[in-house]
Amino acid sequence: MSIDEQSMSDLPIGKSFEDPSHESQYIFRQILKSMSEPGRIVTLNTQIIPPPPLSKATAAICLSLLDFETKLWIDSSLDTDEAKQYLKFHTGLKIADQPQQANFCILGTQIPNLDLFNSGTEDYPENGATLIIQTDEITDQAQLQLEGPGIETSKHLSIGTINKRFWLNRDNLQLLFPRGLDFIFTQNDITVSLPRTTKVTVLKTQLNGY
Amino acid sequence: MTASSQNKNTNGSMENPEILEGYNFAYLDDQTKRMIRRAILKAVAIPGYQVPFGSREMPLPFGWGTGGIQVTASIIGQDDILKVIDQGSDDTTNAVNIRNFFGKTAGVDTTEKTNKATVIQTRHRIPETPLSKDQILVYQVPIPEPLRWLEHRETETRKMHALAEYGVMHVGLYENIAHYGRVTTSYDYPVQVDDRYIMSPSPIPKFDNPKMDKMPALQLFGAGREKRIYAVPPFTKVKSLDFDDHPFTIESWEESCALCGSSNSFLDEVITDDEGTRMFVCSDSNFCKEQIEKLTNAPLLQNGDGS
Repeated sequence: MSIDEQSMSDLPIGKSFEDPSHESQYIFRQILKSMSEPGRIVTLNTQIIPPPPLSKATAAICLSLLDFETKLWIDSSLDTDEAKQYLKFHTGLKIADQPQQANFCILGTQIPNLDLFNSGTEDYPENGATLIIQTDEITDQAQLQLEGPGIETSKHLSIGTINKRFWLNRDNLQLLFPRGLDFIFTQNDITVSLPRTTKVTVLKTQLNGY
Repeated sequence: MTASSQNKNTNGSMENPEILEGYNFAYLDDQTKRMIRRAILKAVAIPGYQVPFGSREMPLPFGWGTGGIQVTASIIGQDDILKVIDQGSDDTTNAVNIRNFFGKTAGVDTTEKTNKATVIQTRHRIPETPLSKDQILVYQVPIPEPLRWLEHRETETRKMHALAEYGVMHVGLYENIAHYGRVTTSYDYPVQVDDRYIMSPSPIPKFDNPKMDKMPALQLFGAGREKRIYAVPPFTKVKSLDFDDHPFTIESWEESCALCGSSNSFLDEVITDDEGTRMFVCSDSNFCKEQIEKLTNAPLLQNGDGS
């Protein structure tokens, strides 16, 4: 009759996909669109309720793409028990202790040095990690200029308060292509991607406040 | 196995195969789809690089498009409209069966019209009608490694791609010119993607190579037996390899299509009797039909496809 207290407390708070197969497919197609057209701002329409501090988009991407075959690292600023429990319960993913071991990482806007992450090898560049970065604002204002595969001529993009060192860091990493890191920025239920091939020119540094 | 009937006449769907119950949506299980989806995203992030993936056994033999089918199964959703072509034609065995496969396992709408499809799976052709943004072209690939005929060892070709050490490919083309006075490769003509990876465009005629350059649609390639997925994002530079004094050229014909009169499409030569009488017709059956409809200004076929 009575439900075990211990197992009740193990259940995560929040809500996952109601129809995992079709909702995962929809979210994946939106991510595919954003990854194949860097700088295109894509909305992820979903009814999920993730526990804070995870944004809807961050959680939806994890629910859609991660499983027991992937390792996730969560930056300390977003690393809560509720978030970990939610993601582990719904996907079965493994939590990595070090960023170097992870295929996927969730970060806030205080992005550590990119050397910490796995950027793959020349032989197997696909092992480079995907970094999901939760930011406070994503718009098409002219803060950054993007060029590269997936972009017809050039595109403008503004991503909240990311420090300038990050962009310099990313420029240096691009010299190692095909090794590299792929970025997915999220804010609430919108997302925009910057794969390793996209060239980014910072137009207005003052917008960053750094 | 019970079957529920499907009745969809929107979007020019032609067949209404009954949806099979007891199967996952689009056949593959969700864990497999996630693995393939992660591979596709990395393939898009590294244009032209072949990402290894855990190719599954499909209900048809390798060589019949199992790679393309697995890619299509992983991306397709309920709202998609699927077109499948084999050598440009919608009604050859391979195309009809793959279309029915997804009609039965996913219940998606199918079409012959290039501009109505959201996902187009192809074997050995790119449609003549230019593709648009938000369409996805899925290629079936037999041998994904363009260097395979020059270097048999996977360990070596992997190193060559890693270091962009592509001299041997140019030597191969040069020897061809030295022997025959021109590059004789007429299909699966190697391309370089975004000035980096050399890639096999799958066995499309070199006539189709220029269509890949800066194509607004996303191009995905699946090789089932060889277990590789690769991609070309929209608006990406795709250059067919050549030399300054031997520029890349495509096939041309003195004849025009015997059915629609088109003089700028890829033509198949068809023998029509034992006397060796021949005619040339468009390889892209949907394009040919549309050209004829334009000429006669009336729908040619009334199979639900006419608008």
